[in-house]
Amino acid sequence: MSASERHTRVAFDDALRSLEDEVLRMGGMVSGLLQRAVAALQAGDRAAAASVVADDAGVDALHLDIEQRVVALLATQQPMAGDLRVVTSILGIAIDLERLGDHAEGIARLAPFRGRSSLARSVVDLSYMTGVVRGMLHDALEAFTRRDPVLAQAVATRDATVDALNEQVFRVLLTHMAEQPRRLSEAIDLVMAAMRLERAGDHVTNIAERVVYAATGVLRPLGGSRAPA
Amino acid sequence: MLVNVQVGAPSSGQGRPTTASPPSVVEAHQLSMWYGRTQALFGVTMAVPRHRITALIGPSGCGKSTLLRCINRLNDLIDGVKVAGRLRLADIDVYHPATDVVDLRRRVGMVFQKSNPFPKSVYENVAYGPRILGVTRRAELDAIVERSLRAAALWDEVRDRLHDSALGLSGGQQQRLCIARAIAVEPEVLLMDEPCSALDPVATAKIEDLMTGLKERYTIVIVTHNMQQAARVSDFTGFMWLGELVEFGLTRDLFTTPRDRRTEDYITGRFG
Repeated sequence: MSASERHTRVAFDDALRSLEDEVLRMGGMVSGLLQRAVAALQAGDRAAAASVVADDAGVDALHLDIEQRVVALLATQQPMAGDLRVVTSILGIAIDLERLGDHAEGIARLAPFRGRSSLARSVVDLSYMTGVVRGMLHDALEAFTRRDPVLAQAVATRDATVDALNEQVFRVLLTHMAEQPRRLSEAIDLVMAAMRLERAGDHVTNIAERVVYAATGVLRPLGGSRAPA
Repeated sequence: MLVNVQVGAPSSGQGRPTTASPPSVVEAHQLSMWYGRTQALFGVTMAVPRHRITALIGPSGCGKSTLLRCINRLNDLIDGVKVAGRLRLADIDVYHPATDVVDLRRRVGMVFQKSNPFPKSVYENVAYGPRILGVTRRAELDAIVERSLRAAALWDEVRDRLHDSALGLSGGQQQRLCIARAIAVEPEVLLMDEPCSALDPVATAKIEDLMTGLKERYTIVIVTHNMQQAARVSDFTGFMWLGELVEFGLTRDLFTTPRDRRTEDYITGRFG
């Protein structure tokens, strides 16, 4: 058909674009929270940790706002085909981003009890693991923006790196727990933080799956372990 | 009317249902049709699965009603119509010169956009077809009328006024009466050409519920402009564009993951 025969559903397209912008904004918020939460844990910075907990409430509110707008869009615009896949994917992505925010909050809540963690600075490098997860999240959202299933698949593949780092952290800390029982609590907190980062990687993999679905209509698991819905 | 029937092996056309589909009752193979010099259908190949609801969607003038009216040869009533290709209803070649069109139309019932009850009583509307077919015994006609009205979910509303004029019924009731009239002669296929476009949402919902029940006994082909209706009620959907059957498949697939860009553009409202 010629360009003159085409028209766009202006109201729907505007609403969808606005929703996508909100998802990207939520992704940026969550990525920042992860970084700040791990930094707070490493530094034992109670104020920084408290600000992460407080800011996660903003992520939760944004998730609910996106969900309500998706429901309204479904009810009033009845999107079909590719539009329907994008709208439902936005809902799924928002849920996973909300869970990512919860994991950031969970890591931050570990910080006030430990004080400055020498283990977190000298023995395990959670910053690197956080960087991998944040890189995955950045690329998953980039793939969503571009409707790029190849990039999304590549993101999911990187989850294996996060899983391997988690195992590595666990093994190292297990050794320390055996050698220095009085630092058991500190080591356990770090194990829990690493586990939360590992689950964060799974949620990013879920996001990548939604991107593939939005782009191709194929909904299938991309990674090994999966974050619970 | 000039009928040019081409007999040939079925092609693997665009309208073949999936391998999981039930057996087909209507099969079109490279069906083309002209109104005078204007071609309205272009090589449509489609298999309509038995005891399923198949929806035909597409913009105005795309040929969906024309295709529907080929199945009961209602287009024969238009001067200058020419048909090529093959169209089968179960065991008969619809456009074969020897085909009995009266018998064909008994086997293929039709419900139109605007309800069109005869200016007779409710009872006589339903009994009309069976009488034409030779049913004269009152008890047998009574049974057919009751069975048909029950099947059309109308019996409880009209049982006390069977001999009142059908024109006194509401629009939705009149449309269900037309469905009862169509199924009174036990057709194999029920064609519905925008049957709800003149009805309010409540009457529409009743017709849609009715269709879902009727497909256990009849094969239904519905033309609709309402894509939500097609998505709600049909098992299979065909999208037509400029006389061509662009895409045909399971409704849930077509409305979530259409294969053809034109289908995607149409059902997402991006061209008109």
